[in-house]
Amino acid sequence: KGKSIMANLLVISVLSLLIGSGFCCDQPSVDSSYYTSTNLKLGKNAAFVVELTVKCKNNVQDLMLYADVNGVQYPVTKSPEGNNYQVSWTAKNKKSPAALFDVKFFDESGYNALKKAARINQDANTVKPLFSVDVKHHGMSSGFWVSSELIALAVASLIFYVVCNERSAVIS
Amino acid sequence: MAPKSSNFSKEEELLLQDFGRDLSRKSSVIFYVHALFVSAIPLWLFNRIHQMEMLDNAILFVIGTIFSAYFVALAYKNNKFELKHKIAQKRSDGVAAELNAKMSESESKKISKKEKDERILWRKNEIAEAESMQLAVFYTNSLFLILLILSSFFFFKSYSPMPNYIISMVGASSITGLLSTSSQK
Repeated sequence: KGKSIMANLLVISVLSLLIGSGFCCDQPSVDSSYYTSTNLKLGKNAAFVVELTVKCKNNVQDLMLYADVNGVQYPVTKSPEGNNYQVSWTAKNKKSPAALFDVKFFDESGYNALKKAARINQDANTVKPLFSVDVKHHGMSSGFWVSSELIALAVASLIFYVVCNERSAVIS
Repeated sequence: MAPKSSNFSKEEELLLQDFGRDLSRKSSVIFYVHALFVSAIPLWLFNRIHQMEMLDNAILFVIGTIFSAYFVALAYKNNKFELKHKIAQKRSDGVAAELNAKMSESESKKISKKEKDERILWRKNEIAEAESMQLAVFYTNSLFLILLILSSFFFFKSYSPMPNYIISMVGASSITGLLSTSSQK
């Protein structure tokens, strides 16, 4: 009885592997663009948007992708047409200073492996992502601390002071 | 006003003209061109920063620039008049020394004292004219622009661009003009 269960499990796992490999993207070529918010006045959290166009060599459509940013996973949405994907997330400004983020993308099996690694306290870096994208965040700032009109006024005042000195030297 | 009677000799009339409030044609042109330029500078500010369309507000911009140019030119004139006398007084000794040094001994003996004085006066007038014009233009421009920055970016910051332009230009140019008249003694 035990043998038959084992055999069943083996068949199921082989089948699942076969089916799984059908959805697995082979040598993906990725075209990505991204946006990160930098203006602290408009929002306290840094917003990240990454857009991707993924082309697989084996022409797999409708991939289920997950993005991993510093150990946090986000689901990737797919547009109805084409192989366009998008993922967005926000992070507290203090937690995401200006840095180069390595955004890893996993397919479903990779995502499961990642979850499993987290469950058994294995190093998540051992799970190989499908591909990864670098996102450069310039950090949030509220702009220069002195407004430009104040600088203009200061320069104008300085010039006016100089010319007033000159004038009073002539008049006196 | 200097009476245009025959009591004055031709030289005296020329002198009056030189040190009077009236401007020569050349100085007037210089002043008005400068005034137009400095009045047109704010157009850039209102176009690029306050986002006013050039073509949509062309009439307002032309009127504003001409209005402001008139008052700025008035301020140039008044400031120049005031400064010219002072500069002429200050440069008096220097000019005399310069001319004396230039003239050789024989030449200086040849010409009469009156002619020498006239030459000094003429040179003094020339120097004072140029210097006073420069200083008046510099002073008035910086005063006008500082008033404009203050009013358009600080006092009337919250106004919409059109009233901001009107108030700032009228305010800055008329205060510049007014200050130039009040400072005469």
